[in-house]
Amino acid sequence: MLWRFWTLSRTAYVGLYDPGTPLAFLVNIAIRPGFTLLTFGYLVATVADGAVLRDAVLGAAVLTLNWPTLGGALQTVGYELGNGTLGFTLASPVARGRLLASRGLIHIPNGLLAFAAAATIGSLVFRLDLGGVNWLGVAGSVLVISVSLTALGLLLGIGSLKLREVWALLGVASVTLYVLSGAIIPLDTLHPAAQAAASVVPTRWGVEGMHRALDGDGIATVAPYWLAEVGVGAAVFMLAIGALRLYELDARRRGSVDLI
Amino acid sequence: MTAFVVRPVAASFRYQLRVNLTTLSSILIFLATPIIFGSVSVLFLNSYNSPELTTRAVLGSGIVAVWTTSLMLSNITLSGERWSGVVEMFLATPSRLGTMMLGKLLANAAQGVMAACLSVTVVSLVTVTTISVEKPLLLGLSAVIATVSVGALAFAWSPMLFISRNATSVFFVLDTSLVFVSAVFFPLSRLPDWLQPISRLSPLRWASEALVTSADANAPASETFEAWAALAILGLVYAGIGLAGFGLLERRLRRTGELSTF
Repeated sequence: MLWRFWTLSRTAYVGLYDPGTPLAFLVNIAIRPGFTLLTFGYLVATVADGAVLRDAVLGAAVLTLNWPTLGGALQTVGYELGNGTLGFTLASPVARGRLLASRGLIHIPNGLLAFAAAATIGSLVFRLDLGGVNWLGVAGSVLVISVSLTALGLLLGIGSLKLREVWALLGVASVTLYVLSGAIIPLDTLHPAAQAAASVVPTRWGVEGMHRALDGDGIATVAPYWLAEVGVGAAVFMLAIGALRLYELDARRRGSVDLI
Repeated sequence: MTAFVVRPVAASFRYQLRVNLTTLSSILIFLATPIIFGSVSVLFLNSYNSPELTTRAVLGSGIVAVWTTSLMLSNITLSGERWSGVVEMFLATPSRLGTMMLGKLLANAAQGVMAACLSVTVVSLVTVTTISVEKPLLLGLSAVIATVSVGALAFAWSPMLFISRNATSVFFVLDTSLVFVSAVFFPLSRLPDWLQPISRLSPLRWASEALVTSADANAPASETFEAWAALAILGLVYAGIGLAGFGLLERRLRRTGELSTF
């Protein structure tokens, strides 16, 4: 069963998403995220230093996950319609949870690579003081963020089937994450309504966990934030399964997979 | 001159602008980057009481919108021409390939102006920020000159789209790297010393200077005029590079008789 799941994942990744040439992969995973991080890093370094700069730079590194994980999963699901494979997918007997998970699996390590590249660039360029950091806590936080962002990408991917729009959805989601995740902008500087909305946004709790780990807090302190992030990610994934089932029901009723 | 340059440029400009305007996503999909840069910068700066940087960030989101839209829309437009086989028909017309592409890319830059207006509006709304513009006429003129110059830079890179399969990846690198190298969202003095001379070659850097000094009542007009001069010179140079690039490409295509240049 694991082999079948892996085959399903690999086929979806290569056939639907298409990582492109090695240069394109490098651009998406390291170069573009690196320059984005440098822009934010230099802005923050103009007015702040020390722990504020460290948290913002590594926060910006976490947000670089958004492009390969959320964007990758969104494109993989969204391209089913344009590539003409959606009808076969809907006709397949594979459990919908497993089907969607397979569309997101390989984007998760891509996200981790993007973070590693951006965090390395940021740490070196801004000579961040990383003494006393709980690295296990940071790694765990980045992993759960990567998973929950992938879940969000899957949900938005189903939305893109209905709206026939992949890139605009990715843009809206990215803006939301950059503003409400707390990764660069401290949440306590936002309007209370925005702070409340942030609590259900994937990345928000993982970022909080990462900031605690950067301050040197132990796993016992960080773990509840991981649980909250996993909870949000799981809820988003369940919503994605529900949305796919609804889409499927509608498609069968109308006799067409194109529901625009 | 009119028949072979002005009319083709005007016709391809009109055609491309109409195509752009029929697709809402052609303007929306490039807005994320400028809105993210602008909003995050302004919201972060809220705690630091830095009106100069805040103004730079809001106006910077407009500059990035023009740049991203001009560059990436040109990528989509020209790659589309390449893959749908329209380039062959362009070559069969008496007008030069470069003049027709210039019209299209100017239309994309014009689309960038709309994106810039939207971006600045959204950033201002999201961050609940207003910037005071003391010299609106100067700001308007700065915006026009900056748009043409930034559009020219996108035009200079465009022949590459007909030559290399990796051009799209290069465009994705240019998109964000130039925003950083041009120090659009932070003072130029923060850039590493070795990058500062490179940033002088970027219209985005001068566009930022032109807009920020136009909005600031205390900035001497000479600073704005200096930025205009740099934008004009760079615009002419990059437009020349683009036209020369398309000219070389056209000659090569006619000589070899095929479009498979890679």
